[in-house]
Amino acid sequence: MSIKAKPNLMPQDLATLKVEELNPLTPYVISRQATINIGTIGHVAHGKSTVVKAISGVLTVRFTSEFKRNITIKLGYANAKIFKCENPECHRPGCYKSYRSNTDDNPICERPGCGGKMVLLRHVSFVDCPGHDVLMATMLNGAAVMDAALLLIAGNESCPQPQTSEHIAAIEIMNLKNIIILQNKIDLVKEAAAQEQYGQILKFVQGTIAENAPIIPISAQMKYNIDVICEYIVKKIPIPLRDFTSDPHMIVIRSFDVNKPGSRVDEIKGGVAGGSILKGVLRLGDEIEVRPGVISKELDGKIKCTPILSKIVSLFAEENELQYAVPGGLIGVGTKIDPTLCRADRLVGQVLGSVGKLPQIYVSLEVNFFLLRRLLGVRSEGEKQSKVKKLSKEDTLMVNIGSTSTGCRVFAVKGDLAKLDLLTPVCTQVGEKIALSRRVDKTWRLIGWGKIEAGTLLQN
Amino acid sequence: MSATSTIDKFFENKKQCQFQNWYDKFKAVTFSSVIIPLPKIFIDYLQSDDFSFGNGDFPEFRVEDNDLLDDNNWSTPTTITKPDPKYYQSNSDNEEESDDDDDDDEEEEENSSKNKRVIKQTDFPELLDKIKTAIEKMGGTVIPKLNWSAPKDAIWMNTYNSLKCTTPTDIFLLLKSSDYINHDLLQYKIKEEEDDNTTTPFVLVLRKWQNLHPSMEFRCYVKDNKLIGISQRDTSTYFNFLKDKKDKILNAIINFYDNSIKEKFNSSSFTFDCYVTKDDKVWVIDFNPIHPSTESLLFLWDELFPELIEDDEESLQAKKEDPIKEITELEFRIVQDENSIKPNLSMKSRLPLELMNLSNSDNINELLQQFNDQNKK
Repeated sequence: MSIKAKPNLMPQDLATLKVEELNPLTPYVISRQATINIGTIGHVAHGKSTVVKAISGVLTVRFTSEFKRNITIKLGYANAKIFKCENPECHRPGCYKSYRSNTDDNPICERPGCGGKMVLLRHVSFVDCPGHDVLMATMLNGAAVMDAALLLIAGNESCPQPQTSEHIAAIEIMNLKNIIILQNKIDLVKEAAAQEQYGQILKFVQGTIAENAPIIPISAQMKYNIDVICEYIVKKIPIPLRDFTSDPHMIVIRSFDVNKPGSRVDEIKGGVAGGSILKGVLRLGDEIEVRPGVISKELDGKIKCTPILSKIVSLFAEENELQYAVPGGLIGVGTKIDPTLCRADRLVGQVLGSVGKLPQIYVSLEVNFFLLRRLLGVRSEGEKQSKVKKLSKEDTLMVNIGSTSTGCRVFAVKGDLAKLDLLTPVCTQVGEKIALSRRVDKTWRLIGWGKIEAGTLLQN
Repeated sequence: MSATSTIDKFFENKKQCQFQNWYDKFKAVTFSSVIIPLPKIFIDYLQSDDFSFGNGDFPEFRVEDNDLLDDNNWSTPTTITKPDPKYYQSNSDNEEESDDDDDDDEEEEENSSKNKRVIKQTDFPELLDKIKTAIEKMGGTVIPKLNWSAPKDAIWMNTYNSLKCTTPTDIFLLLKSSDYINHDLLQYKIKEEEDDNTTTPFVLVLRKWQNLHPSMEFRCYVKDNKLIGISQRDTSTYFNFLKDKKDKILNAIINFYDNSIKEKFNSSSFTFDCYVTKDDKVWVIDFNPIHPSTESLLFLWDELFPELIEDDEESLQAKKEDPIKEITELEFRIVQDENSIKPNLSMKSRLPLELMNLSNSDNINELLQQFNDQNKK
């Protein structure tokens, strides 16, 4: 079974696939799928979307949320391929170039008079952060969802701006060690001012996780030094270690019904799940399971949950079709699942993997918890933070388990152990970490952490 | 009436869009719904930080065996974690809390006493009955909303991961967890001294639950009684069949607007959300005001209502770099990107505030560092 190949993308062949030989640079993989995730961190006004567009060629959707012309841009994801020209006459950094995800693997070098062939070195995925749902999963499980970060600072403003400290904090939370600082809008200032700001940035990042990060002056608008960013992505970001050999495990962050309403039965396509593979490899034709699955109420009022069994009928990353998908950038999985079950993101927070290999489904948990003394600082200075009340019976809380969020109700507390009834079944395991939040002054506030010690399993 | 509006120069626009102000007029072209006026006690219930449910309120599952229910049966933690007392409470009951913490207890109690009122479902039995009857009338499954908003941001607090509710508790869990609902609650101030049973300007709307296809939901922008923009409602998903169906949908919506909406709504500029069925029949889902709190989706408010935009220095600069054209002729926008998976933009609400906006996060860093260190042990 060979893929309906886009011309000039490397063919993938399941028959010869040896997962133990895969790595995040395998040509057959990066021809079609991004394998390195790079967070983009910075204030929107500093040109985050222009930078991503300059590198990836993907223009992201714009929104306004206020009548003020304060544009907030929701970036989401954009993928890019990074190439280097083979011609020895082509010098750095000009020999590095990035193109969209669906570009051929060997484009011709654009440098006038060069005509050399370019070689694909990396396929990266830019993820807008913070404020992303994989953030919590990262923190709780230490899974490196993000491999590196681009931190954006506007060259025409003094550094640090208040948000810059927050952004450094975000990088630290995500435990990102590989950072590239971009001093953007350099075209708007004189050289002396740029030099002065460079000094300010160096001083500012001292002692933080970004201390040794390279600082690149760029102009995303004028496409100046974009080649340097590409070069640094190749040279400064280590190849992440990925687990390709375990049973596949994907967290679902989207699910869709892609059918035209009123389609005939024989035309209907199965549901599509979108997400990120944490480990293992998914292949076309794989028999899969989605847990917890379909949740329904039975006649006696009890809630039943049926894991979904299905088969992978298509795999894609951006518009590239795949024969197999690996951990890294977001992928889409076409299945034979009844599409109405996938409609409107109904499978978000569930997990997809091999039949019978996914963790078990819990409906109540016993956790070893520790509560904060006070809420963490979000209030203005001077005001004291509210104390965190002890957990009490019947409290309703938000619980984050991996990439799942749900409600729970405390039904018993003893010392540093608590028993929690979950509002919806969750696929997890003993030893996993959870975060607990409570409604305080009408917003959800983090009150503590916990670890799963035991639980009640759902009956299948 | 016990209510006063908050200061908002676009509040008049908003008022017209309250569900109870348009439902009767558009009954024939929208999904059937029940409107329940809300007494003050229920508004207090929604406002209160007290968020507790008794045994039996939460869903009951079919389980293997439930040792956890046994109050004498507790695990022994596999690892002993001793969190830093600077940040974490001691969980043992007999240990004295430090002096520092006792000082401000009273002060805090006073500050937020109105958020602390403990109200149980049994304190508003009549309303509870009305809700149960309405659910039955709607066929057993409903979508709840207040005057303007549905608690879409809180679907993680629902067993079915949707707005589908079958019991009053399902409804209360969603309403009490939602920032959208809070936003609605801020629109009228209810005097504290009013009696619990006083009717407020707030209503609970229960609409018959439908498994709608998100690809066929559209937001339409009307300016001075003229339809000027239509946007795909779900802006994070690409549906490949929409391109071919675009003209058909456009015609269906134009006809619907001309016949059923035009000059019938109490305002000349507004937005409405609609649903196009497979037979190109159009239903109104909702009306929304021309207001900063309404999402402009695939348009910019600058393109639709440039006269309302207040510029500041930064935005003037942005305008110069990237000028925006005013829309004068009807434009229909759908997501054009190819098949790529993007996160749903509303997913942010699944995290606590601290992780959503990471401001002032020095403490968080220290905590996480510790947390990670402990996990490694």
